[in-house]
Amino acid sequence: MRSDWLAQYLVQQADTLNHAYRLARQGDQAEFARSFSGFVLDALDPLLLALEPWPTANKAALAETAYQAGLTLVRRGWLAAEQRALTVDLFTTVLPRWLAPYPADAPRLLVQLLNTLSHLPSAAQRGTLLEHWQRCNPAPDATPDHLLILGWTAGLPEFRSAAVTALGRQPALAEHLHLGKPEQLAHPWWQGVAAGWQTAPLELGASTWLGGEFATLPVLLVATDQTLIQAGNDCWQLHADAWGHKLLAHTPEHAAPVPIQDLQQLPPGLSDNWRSFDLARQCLERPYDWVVSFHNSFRILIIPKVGGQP
Amino acid sequence: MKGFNPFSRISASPTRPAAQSTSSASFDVAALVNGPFGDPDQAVQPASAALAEKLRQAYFWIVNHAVISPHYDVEYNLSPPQPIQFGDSQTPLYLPTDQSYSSFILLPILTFAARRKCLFIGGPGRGKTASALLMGLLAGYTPKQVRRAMQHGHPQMTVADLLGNPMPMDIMKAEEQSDIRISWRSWLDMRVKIVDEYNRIPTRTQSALLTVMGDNYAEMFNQIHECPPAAWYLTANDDQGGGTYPVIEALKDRIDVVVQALPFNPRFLDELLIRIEEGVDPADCLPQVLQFSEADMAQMEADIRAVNLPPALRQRLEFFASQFEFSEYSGQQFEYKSKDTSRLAGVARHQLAMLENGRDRLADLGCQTRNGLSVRSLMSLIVYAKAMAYFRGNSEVELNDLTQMLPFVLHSHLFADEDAPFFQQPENAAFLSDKIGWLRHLFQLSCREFERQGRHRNDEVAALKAELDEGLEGLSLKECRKRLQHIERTLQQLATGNKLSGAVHDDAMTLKYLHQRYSNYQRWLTSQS
Repeated sequence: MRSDWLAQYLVQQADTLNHAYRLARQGDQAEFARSFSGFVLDALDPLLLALEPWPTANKAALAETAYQAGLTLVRRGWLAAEQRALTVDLFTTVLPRWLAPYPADAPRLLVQLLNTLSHLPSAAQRGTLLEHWQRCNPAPDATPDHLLILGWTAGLPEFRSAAVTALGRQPALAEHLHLGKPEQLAHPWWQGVAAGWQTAPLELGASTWLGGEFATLPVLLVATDQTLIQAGNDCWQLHADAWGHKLLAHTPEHAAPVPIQDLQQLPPGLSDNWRSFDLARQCLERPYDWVVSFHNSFRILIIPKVGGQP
Repeated sequence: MKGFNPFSRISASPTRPAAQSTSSASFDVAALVNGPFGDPDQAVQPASAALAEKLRQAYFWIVNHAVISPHYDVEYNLSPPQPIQFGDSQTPLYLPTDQSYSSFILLPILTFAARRKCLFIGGPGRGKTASALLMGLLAGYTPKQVRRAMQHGHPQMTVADLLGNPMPMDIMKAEEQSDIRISWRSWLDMRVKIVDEYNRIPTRTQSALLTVMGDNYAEMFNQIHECPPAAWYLTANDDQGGGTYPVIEALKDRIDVVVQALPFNPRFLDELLIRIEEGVDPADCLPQVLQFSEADMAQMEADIRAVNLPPALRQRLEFFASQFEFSEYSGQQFEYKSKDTSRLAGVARHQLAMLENGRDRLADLGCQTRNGLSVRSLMSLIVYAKAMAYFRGNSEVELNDLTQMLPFVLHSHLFADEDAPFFQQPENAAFLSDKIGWLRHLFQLSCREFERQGRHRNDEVAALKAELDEGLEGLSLKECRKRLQHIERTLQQLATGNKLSGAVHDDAMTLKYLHQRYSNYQRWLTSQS
């Protein structure tokens, strides 16, 4: 252990820490112990070593929060083989530089960042967020806005409108992300200056035989400015844009199914996006895209309109 | 160190989220920075939760971490629950469709918030004392303080053991009783008072306890010690007089609510195992943020009293309460036709029952009980219904709040008449041992009868009373006569159209009261003119 302070702290608080550890451990105990000791040595120790000049009380508060966070990280598999590098990088590179100027706020900032990362299902998405994060290192006041914006661009489309509003408060970040003009951001399929418009259709669900998210063939519903997808007893609100898609469970009081149409009624240009044997069932035109369901497939297809035009 | 022990974790999300319109899918952006790693604000300082939310957090902390209680017997439903039938008796199990609660934790918590008196009953080792201890911790005391302040009833317990001792030197020197200083026991000043096994306390000491419980002061050698308002918890292994000494009636009557410790479910043995292996006592781990200060407790009590009991519910309660005291053949004069009259005279119930010839003893709810409801028990019922509404984050009592609280409040106040025809029915036999179930059923039957009689639509007596409640100031002689005639007419209708039941009796007594008020006023008006 390279941080003497951490070593002393762990010895002093051994009873409480061991107790917390025993109550938190899950699954294979040997594996849990291995993962967690790896966290202490490879993540917590470098973090506290880098923050050695901090007052003791601040270091203790951060160590306490980070130790507890470490137990959760292990339980959630963030120290398993494929995600370990990212987690260790977070503690050894990202956090020391970001937190160093803010000893008093560090525990809160750490928890905010970890919680936001936990909303991103894949390590790749978390990696994307952290990549931008290192370049910004936002101050405590700007942290919630940065988390919102970078969380959205990393794959949380449900935060889109709040993030676009937050971008107005963080011009430097908007500049850094090269997102273009504010009016372009109103379009959900605009990916920024470099990537331009997304034109490729987005597919939810799965193939003809496997349902994916859907237990039965999905049906499109509309309810006050919302697009809903119902499959069996489950109902979700659809959130999709160039940065990702998400189905959030939601049961509205009133929702009307999108009318079933035959193929002749569908805009001809759209049929290029599905296979010859697919039988489109519902086709919902929205301001910036089309959403199509099928009679013979569990897929939902979202076909973007480029620049607001089909 | 705070925040390290999982027992110290409290719910970060609202324990009872306010009902949201399901048509709106909007969500809180703050959800992004909340998640499995905890509440960011609590990483620095504890959030100052609103008191009702804090109370719910305390409930959920106890249910989830401290007391292994998988029983959810206080059921709330948003839509009718589907019963699942079990066994030959086709006993239904309902899956509640709204947040439901464990009475064993809920009632003590409500007692704590409303600063009332709760009795735990149940066999040894079922967590009665442990639950009472947790309530002491909620008031901000340490486990040691609570354990030391707990009064353990035993057959040799003296008044001095309970209240304190006179200073020996003062006894020698004093010329008057008032010169003797008393070393009062410290538990008298606590905001949570616990008396363990209170039915083992000798009768004389029980009387001293009654003074403290009832009037909030202790007295020895002419010295008075005023006690602060407190929540009381008493425990007893047996509520039927199985203790060493019979509990004096007045002491029993001071108890607002009785809660029964339900049996341990062996499926949860793993949690006990963890406690043994880890040497953890949840009582030592109550999060500081869940502790209530004296000001918090006073505020909660005031907030509970401010919860509204709608008139429509009050009418149902009035109707329910009016069923039980009436006994047609107990007295000759109308006012004395009560069960208490025959009880005081020592007349056996079955003798009176033999005189009954008109009413349906199976349908009349009053025939199911041996006694009527005391004023104190009705007050307790209202307080607990309000406390329940407060706990659920409502500003108004709902019918289900009354339905759920009523059995626990009336548990030791309303007694079943085992000889009543109702209990002779095979399907009702279980109600003789399941008092909670019987009382709940009784209230439901009363509500059904209330609706059958259409009292929720038209209650003439209530309307007449409301008219009087507006005051007599400026009421003309003509109007007064008109109202008197209305009262007399209503009384006539009541007498001709109904059998004499508890509700009819109370209505008649109310009309007589109104008649007196108006006729006195009329006499005064006449004398003035």
